[in-house]
Amino acid sequence: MSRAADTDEREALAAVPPFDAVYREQRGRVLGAVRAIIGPSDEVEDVVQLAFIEIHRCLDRFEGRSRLSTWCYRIAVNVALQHLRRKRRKRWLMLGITGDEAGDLALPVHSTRRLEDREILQKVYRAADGLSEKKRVVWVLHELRGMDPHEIAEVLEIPMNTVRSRLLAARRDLMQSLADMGIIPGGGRGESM
Amino acid sequence: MSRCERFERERDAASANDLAALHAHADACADCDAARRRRVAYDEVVGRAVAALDAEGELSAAAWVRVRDGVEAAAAPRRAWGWAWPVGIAAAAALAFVLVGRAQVEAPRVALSPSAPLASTSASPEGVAQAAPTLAAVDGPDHGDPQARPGEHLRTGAEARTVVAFGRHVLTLAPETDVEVVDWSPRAMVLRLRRGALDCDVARASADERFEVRSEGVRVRVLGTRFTVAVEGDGATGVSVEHGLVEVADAGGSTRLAAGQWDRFGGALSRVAPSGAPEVDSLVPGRAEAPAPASAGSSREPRGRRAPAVELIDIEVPDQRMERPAPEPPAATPPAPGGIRLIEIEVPPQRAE
Repeated sequence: MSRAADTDEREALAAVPPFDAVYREQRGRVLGAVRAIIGPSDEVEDVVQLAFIEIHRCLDRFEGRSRLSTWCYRIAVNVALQHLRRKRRKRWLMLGITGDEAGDLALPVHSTRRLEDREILQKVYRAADGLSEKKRVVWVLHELRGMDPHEIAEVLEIPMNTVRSRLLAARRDLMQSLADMGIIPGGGRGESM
Repeated sequence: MSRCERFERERDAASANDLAALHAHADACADCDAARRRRVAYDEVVGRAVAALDAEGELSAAAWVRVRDGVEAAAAPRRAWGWAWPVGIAAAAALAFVLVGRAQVEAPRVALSPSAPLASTSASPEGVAQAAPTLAAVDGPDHGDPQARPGEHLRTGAEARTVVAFGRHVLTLAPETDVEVVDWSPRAMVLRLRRGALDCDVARASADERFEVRSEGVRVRVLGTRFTVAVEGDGATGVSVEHGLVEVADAGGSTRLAAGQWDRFGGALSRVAPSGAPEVDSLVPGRAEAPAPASAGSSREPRGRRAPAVELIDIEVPDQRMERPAPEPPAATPPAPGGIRLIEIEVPPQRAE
């Protein structure tokens, strides 16, 4: 193995914890990333499972060029986006019948406020469905996961200016969608076509 | 006349001083004032969406078992020929038939998977210290295979472990799991899950054989299926069934869980009534008169029906183990909260088809 010859890389590899430990340490972040990207869904845990399978598959190739948490986050984001792509294809084939709606309704609600928040969440994701994948992932990571543009650039491996421009465009589009849905005030003339 | 977009353009990049100037401008500019109100509404919507997202639960304790199963399945070599499936199934059926037949006539056997000893090897010195006597104690005189005795514990540290009991039951302990052996014999396997998650692949050899996993306030009894019991962080017990159809019945109605789905039971038992909750051992299967803790609420709200003190759960499971279906999304059917529940899972005996 070529990287075994390099002492530094060997040290980096030696620092990779076993998969059990990776799961324990990263499950919260992976869950957060997956849930933020695919939205409220019964499929979240399945996608987390897929993300960890991928993490396990690639763990021996982790070279320590980024933090393990960032690396895991990146994989979680990619797996979640892949899931969304599959779901979109499936939704198209099934003419919009996804079954998720029923699952959403079945989730427990403990208060009116939480019910309202949940409805808002669903509407926000419905609006976010109209964004391109590139805009969506940046918007989700920033607005829903609270990551700053620098972190997003690191996770997605794109320039920070690209993150900023995508974020602005995503926010503008999303505000327009939310205004069209009557959730926030409209912007006067038809801006943000 | 063009519309002023200064607020929208400068809002995100503005410093504190710039922001004050921007708001002063918006006070005087109708376009920017509208944009500002829209932005405030947007920020509130996003904030509530984040709150709703944060209110979603954590991963279930059984999630690790699912991840591990997924990793194992992904690592398994894929079959290249379609015809190999029926041949393999037929061979497995014949092998299972022979094994079941032998299990009925042979002396009881307990074997620990050689690649997965119970003793913890890392991250948990306590696990090593406690597992060592267990390993020493489970050495059987007849076959050289280890045997577990009542009162002993099967524990894992940082790594999951698999135990094969009597050549038929495959018990997989998730990391940081503590299982107490209540009974360990070919006719009655009774385990108490103290902590963590336990995945059981049970193959019943005879109709009167008992296989039970208990945790605080919950008893899962099975006569042949694959299921997972997990003690979760809030003291609730999660049960997931890999094969079959589950019907949860109580005085208020019934709910069905399909194969691959899971549910949680007894959420607040350990927290609300650590000493008031009766021991599961004292419950009589099938009787709905176990005393429930007075205020033992569940972590999940009931939806339109009142919780009984004891719930009876019937799980109808066809013969299994020949093939494992792909995991389905977990059901979102909450159990009613309340006190002690009794879960009975009854299926036909294991047969080789």
